[in-house]
Amino acid sequence: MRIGGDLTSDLVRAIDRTSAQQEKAFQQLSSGRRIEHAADDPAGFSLATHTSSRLADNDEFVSSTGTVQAVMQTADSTLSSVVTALTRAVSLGVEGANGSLSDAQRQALGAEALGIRDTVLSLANSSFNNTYIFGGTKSTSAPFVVDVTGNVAYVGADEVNRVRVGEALSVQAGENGAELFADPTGNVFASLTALYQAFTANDPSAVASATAQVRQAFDHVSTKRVFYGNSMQLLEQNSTFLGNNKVELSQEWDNLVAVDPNDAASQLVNAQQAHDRTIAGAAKVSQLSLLDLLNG
Amino acid sequence: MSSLFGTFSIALQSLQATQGALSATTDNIANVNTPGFTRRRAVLMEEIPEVQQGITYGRGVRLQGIESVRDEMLDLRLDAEAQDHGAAQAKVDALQPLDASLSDLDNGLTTRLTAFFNSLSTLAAQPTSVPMRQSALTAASNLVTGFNQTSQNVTQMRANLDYQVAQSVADINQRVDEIARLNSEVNRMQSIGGDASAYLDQRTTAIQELSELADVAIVQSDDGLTITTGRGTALVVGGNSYALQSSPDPDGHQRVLSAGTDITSEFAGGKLGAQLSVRDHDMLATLNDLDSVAFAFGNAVNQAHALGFDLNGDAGGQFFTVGSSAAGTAASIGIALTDPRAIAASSNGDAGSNGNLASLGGVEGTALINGQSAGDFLSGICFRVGSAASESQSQLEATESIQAQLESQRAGISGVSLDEEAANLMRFQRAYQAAARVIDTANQMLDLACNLGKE
Repeated sequence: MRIGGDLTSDLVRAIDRTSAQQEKAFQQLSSGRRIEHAADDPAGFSLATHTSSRLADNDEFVSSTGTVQAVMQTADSTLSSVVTALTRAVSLGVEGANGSLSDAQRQALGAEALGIRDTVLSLANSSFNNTYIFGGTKSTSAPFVVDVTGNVAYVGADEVNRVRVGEALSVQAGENGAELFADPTGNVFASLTALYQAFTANDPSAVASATAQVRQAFDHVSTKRVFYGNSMQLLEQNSTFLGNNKVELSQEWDNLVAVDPNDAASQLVNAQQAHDRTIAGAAKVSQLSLLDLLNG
Repeated sequence: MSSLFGTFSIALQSLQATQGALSATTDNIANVNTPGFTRRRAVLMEEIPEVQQGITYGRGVRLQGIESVRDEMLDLRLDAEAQDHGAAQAKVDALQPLDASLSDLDNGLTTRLTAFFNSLSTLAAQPTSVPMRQSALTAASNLVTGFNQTSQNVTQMRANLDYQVAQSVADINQRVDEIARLNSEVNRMQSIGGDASAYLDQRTTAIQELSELADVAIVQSDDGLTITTGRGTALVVGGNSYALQSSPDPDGHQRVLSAGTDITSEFAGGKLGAQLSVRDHDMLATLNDLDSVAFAFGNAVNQAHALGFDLNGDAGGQFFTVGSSAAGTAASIGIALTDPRAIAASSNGDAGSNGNLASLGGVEGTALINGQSAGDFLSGICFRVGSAASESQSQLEATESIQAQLESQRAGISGVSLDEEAANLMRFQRAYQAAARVIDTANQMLDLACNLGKE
């Protein structure tokens, strides 16, 4: 088989090839990525995009979980203060039911009872980040107001927001004020108002009756705190889960997209050496032909 | 011939034959680097012997002719491979930028889409917060900008291909003219009994360059060489060339015409065929898909938005500005809301309700086109373009490898080997010396014969 004499085009092709391999190895090392565009690995790119979305979703869930946790902690500590206030009201009631007190003494207790009601009113109208936390979806204005009859009325909404904090997890963002402070089984404001009015009327039996109502309200609020306690626990567990999920997803991402820096560096070194060898070899290939060796 | 004069004439003929052979060798050495050159070979024939008185005497050597060593089947295979190579190279050149524009892992359309829906989720935890609402509008703005820019990029790439199509047509016309001219030269040379090798070599090179440009059919008949498109439109018939024209259609895209007839669809291979294919299939499909998904997405969000109420308690208006049909939506989609308070997050009219954000967020997972969500559909576009780009790269590597092998075979048959030519030089030089020596010897003998009997 006759071989055409000129090797140059073969050499040039070989040099082009090692040059391209060197460039690719360098790009991977400097970007740290095996996949930059879909053409590098179409299926891998698809998977990576999907993983990236799930990572972004995970970050969002972490953020929302944090926000809801903050609101719930505020609500729970507010309720704790309410429970403290109600405890004081019960003591007042017990003291005031004593028939041996003077009118003036009862009036003083009544004033304190009113003060407690005002404190609880203020607590029920707590806000977090300019949002009233006990007004349900009517969160831009105070949920409890004193009406013309001197009673505290709930003007918030029944509906409460739900917030998504996981792929398949949504939580109720809290309880509405009516359920907490104006529930028939234990109405905080009605009972405190009744206590104040009983003191004002100097009626010990009314005081006793009102005190029993305040006790019911105390029990009711304490029970309701369980919701917040459970929710906060759930959110804490969710937080941990999301943290683990992020680690897994990040690993998935690395497996798909990232190049191990040590591998990439050694590939670059290999490619450079191959390129140097090819060029050196090309230079050494004899371009002599018989013509050069013939004597004249 | 048995006489000394006969010896003279044999030696003289040998000198002439050797000189002729040397000229072929010289021609080869001179053209060692000429692309497309096929080496020449002297055809030496033994002269017919003559018989005298029962004895057969040889009459030396005759230079029959100088032929070029070519393999026409190999040339045809090289042409076919050139078409595949031209197509693959053009596809890679066109599809790689398209792929790069669409598939951005960090900031592509799917990333922006996810960010938009996540901004709505974040807002759901604080629906009355104006800064959070502004963030949602910003995310929406990023998304529509992404649609606009991607669509514009693809449109620009199509315009670039239009320019390249016109350029390819001009290149084709140049080759076609040259081949027609060379056909005339070949015919002329052959009709006067001459060797048309030089013109044939140039014509072979021109045909190969033409094959890189378009998928042409080459037919050699007794009347000459005819080149047509794959569907039979004439480009070269003997010494006549038929130029192509490129002219824009109403949308501004270059069409290819021959004598006023649109023959754009006749090009499927070569550089031109590939450029047309990417422009009219891959890129056009991408544009249409972007329009479809933007249209479906924009409308779905608008529908969900209209169900809710904004911070002022008013019913939700349009979120995105979307045209009445899908065409052009990706380039034109914008945000209809300027005031963050106008985001209709509420489902019951209360400012603090986040109920409608769930409806808006639900668009993310809803099947909008071909049973796919917007995100999956966008991902599908990237996959399709990426696969096409990857495949064309593989094809390019394959054709380059095959071309290299065929070139190597061709070089083996037709290429000049300086070693071989050097050996030929020596051989013919020796033959010349030997023939000259014969003349010298015969001359001395004649001299003796003429002076026989002289004192």
